[in-house]
Amino acid sequence: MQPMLFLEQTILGLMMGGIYASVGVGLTMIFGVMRLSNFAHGEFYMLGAFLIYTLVNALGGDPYVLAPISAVAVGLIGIALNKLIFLSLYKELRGAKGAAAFFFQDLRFIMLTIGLSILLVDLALVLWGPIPISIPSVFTAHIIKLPGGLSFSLARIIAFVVAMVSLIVLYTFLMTTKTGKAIRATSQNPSAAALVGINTYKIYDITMFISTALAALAGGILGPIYNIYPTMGLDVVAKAFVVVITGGMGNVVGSMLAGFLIGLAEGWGGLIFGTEYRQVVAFVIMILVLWFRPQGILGGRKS
Amino acid sequence: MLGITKDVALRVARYYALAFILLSPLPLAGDYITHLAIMIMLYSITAASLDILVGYTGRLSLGHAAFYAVGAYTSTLLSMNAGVNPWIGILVGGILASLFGLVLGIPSLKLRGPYLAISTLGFGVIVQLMLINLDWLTRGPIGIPGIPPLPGGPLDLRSKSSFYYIALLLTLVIVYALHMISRSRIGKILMSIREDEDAALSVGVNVPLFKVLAFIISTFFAGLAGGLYAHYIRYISPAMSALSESINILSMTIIGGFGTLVGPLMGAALLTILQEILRPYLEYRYLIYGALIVIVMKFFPSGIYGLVQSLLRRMRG
Repeated sequence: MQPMLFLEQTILGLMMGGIYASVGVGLTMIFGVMRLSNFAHGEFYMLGAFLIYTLVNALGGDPYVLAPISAVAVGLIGIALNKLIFLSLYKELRGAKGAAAFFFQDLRFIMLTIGLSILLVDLALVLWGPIPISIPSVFTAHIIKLPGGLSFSLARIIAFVVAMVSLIVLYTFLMTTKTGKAIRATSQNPSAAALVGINTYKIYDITMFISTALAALAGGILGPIYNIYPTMGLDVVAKAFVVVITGGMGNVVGSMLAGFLIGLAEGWGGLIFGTEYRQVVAFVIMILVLWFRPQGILGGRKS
Repeated sequence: MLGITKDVALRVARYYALAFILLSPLPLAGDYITHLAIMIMLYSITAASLDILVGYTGRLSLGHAAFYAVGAYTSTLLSMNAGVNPWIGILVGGILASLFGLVLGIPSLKLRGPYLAISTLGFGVIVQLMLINLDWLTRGPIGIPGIPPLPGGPLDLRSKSSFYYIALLLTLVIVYALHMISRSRIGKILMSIREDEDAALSVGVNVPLFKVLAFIISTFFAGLAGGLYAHYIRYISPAMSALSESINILSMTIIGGFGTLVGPLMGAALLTILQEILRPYLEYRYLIYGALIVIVMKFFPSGIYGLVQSLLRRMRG
């Protein structure tokens, strides 16, 4: 195997890993705090990308400048959906036991979010059409040459840096601020958190906002690199679940690490087994983790 | 054997005859309606088989279409490459699907909740990628055309009306078998696992055995339905194992009303007909489909069957 090719795949894998990490972190937060497996998570990623496309067309300007605006807008959509669809179910869930608990916790939530996912994909299809679109940015054309014949577009490097910065900001927010601590408390024990005066339903809104905004940001910063299309979220949500399981469901730090791990494994797996088996690599890792360490690589549940 | 008394057997035989008589004139309505009816029956078998897993055992599967595809590919490849009689091929397909079910069932013993849902989703993706990439065997994404029809003796099963009667008979037999399983001791044990796994363990139920058994039963019948589909449509492709197809089947089970066996039949009929009606409005089709799932899950969690039951109760006063 050529060492340069290996190095290139390693760097590309790590860059893709950054995106997986930021999509996975949002998914794991929703699960950790609300016990909600959100199968519509990928659609917020997709909405983030299409919203930027619309903003670029309407206002002009560079997609990277508009990315935060679209992330906040998608975050607000997340809060609206939370209030509209999930709020009443959380309240029912608190008192559920036995078969009823199974029904609420898994089946009903999963089917609801799957329905939401189908709905949002089709909405995008109607609004933006099925043909893959590219979002132009001045940075895509800028190629950074590295010694040894390696070269990456500036857009790819910006995407990686934005993903990294957002993860660091999120981590600092969860660890140091009052709201961050309230989110962690709610995830550990919602009733105890409510007892000490935390408005847990407000925490749910905040978590939903962070989660969907992160996904939208990831979709937005990848827009200038890859084409965007209505079903783009479906591929990513499956990968995001692999990341979340590998990192331990509800574990934010675990998901960050697992994101890079899966990105790397895909890059290397593509080299060894051929690109058509890249996807299989991620799922095989997930199944191995489920067999041997169902609690995830870092173990335990933290938020 | 399964605790069938003469009385119960008689009553079931009567319903059975009634269903057959009620449904038998359908082929007179023409090929289009007959085709729809056959598709509803094939989906009914798959959705009802999934109900054993989801509704009775409380185990969510997002990869059920993969087993359907395993049945279809096995029977197709056996009949086309080895000259095996398709009827035997379908049976082998069901058995192979249930072996895959066993393989997936064993790791799932440790998994609960969303973990199982996601691992079944992963399994479905792996099966689909295999069907796409093992092109020396499966012809890859193009799929396999020209599958031989089922041999029907004096009946020509290439004609929709003849196939209709065979499919009707098989659907009644399979759904009846699933019904008897759900009514038997096995069914009761599966429901006890759904209600409270730890309590079932504490009264001495061999929970791992029955959980794996639920996987085997459920995937066996899904494999059979896949084989029937392959020899009916006579063309298969990896698309039949896609996540969207698994979700389609799961939607039938859940929108119909899970844990009832009758519900999934209603769900299969409703969603198949709905998809046909919405076909001209192609781009809005899934918008309506998605909204329907959201509405049913939010407001009528016990599905259409539950809705019908409560309506009937209200009418009786």
